[in-house]
Amino acid sequence: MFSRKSAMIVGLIILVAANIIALSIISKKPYPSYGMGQIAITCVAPFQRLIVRSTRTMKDIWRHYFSLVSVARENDELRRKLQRARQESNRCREIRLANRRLRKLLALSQVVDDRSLAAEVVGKDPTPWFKTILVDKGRRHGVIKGMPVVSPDGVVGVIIEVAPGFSKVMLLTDPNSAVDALVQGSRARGIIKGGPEGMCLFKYVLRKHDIREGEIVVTSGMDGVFPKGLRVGKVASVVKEPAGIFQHVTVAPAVDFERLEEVLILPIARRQGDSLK
Amino acid sequence: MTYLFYSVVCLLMVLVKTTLVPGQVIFETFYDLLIPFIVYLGLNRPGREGIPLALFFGFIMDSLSGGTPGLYVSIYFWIIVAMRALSRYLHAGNWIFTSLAIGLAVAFELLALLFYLAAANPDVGIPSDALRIVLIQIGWAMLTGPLLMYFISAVQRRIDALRREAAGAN
Repeated sequence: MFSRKSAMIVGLIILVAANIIALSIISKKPYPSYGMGQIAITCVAPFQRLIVRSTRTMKDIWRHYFSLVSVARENDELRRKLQRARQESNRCREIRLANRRLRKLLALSQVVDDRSLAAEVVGKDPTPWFKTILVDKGRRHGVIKGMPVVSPDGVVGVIIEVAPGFSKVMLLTDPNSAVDALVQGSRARGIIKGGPEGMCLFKYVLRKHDIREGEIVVTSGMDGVFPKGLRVGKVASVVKEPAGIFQHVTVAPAVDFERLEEVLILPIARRQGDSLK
Repeated sequence: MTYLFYSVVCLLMVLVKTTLVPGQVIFETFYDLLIPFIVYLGLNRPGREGIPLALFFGFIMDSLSGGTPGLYVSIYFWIIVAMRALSRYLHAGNWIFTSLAIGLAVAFELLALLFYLAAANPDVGIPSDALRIVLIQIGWAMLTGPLLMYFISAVQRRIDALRREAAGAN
């Protein structure tokens, strides 16, 4: 009844449709992953770590021994101090604001310093379209899917895949990422999503809030993943359309993802009140 | 031997893309280095050899990238299927044809990824500089892809010769 050619075309159409449907179903999951992916990560990540460490060692040798030894060391130290001071300043501002509003029930749990885990970045996403990294801590070290990842500068992302010795982290700038956040000054709340060109979009912020460029955005703690008060970034632009209930806010991430080398994996902040101490 | 060669090459390409290239200026403009291999497999190798390897490459890329699982497996599968179909009508050894085939494969991959990005995150949409990146990547792929294919072809010939020698000795 049907020629061989027609049957092939129909078969091809069915195969394409099935492929698209399968991908759509899989991508609906919040952290899409599959068990076999861990095998590939486990096989590839040790080589990545070897190359990254060798490259870093070479860079360090060049920077520290062949070029301005003392200046480079002093610079490193000052950078570390600046990062610590920035984090400290941010923490103090959060605490002062919270006290001003008489929020005595702020749960200052020992989230960060007690159960956090330092990890080294060993690889980055092979494509420019998705923003993920691989770190050298995995299930063996107590890492589980959904754990928040931070650096001294602020929020880095969330664990989306865990292998025995390594984990994959979806960065804040990935289009699939979503972090509940608020503006430090006005307390306007919204969702931080990955946007174009390394920026983030601050979605669902009501028009009534007065937000200015340069204001700091921090995690709200409402998503049950990140502790409250972690630095997310700075407001880069605000556009209020003539109509609509939301305003368009763009946020520049606090973390320089290109230079990210070490991160801190935190336990999941299950309670809304979990906050940075 | 063939599978070992392609697995090692796949690992090397992935390592270059995930450790050495990120952070460099060329990162966004550098195309997927596995594409010339898949095009070569599609045009020159039997399906029973090429398709499992393409699926393996896709599995590795899916595991390391932030896209949905199965995205790269699907992309590589359709590229190899298309290349096998093309090889029936066109002469695979021609430099211009090879360059065009690699350009088309890279274009297909980028369009599929952008389509996925737009469909999965309609509010974020396609990056504004996507067209520039796509065009540069296609250009680079068409220029340098045939060189990579020439290298693969030379190694593959050597492997085949070794295999024949081993068969002859037995």
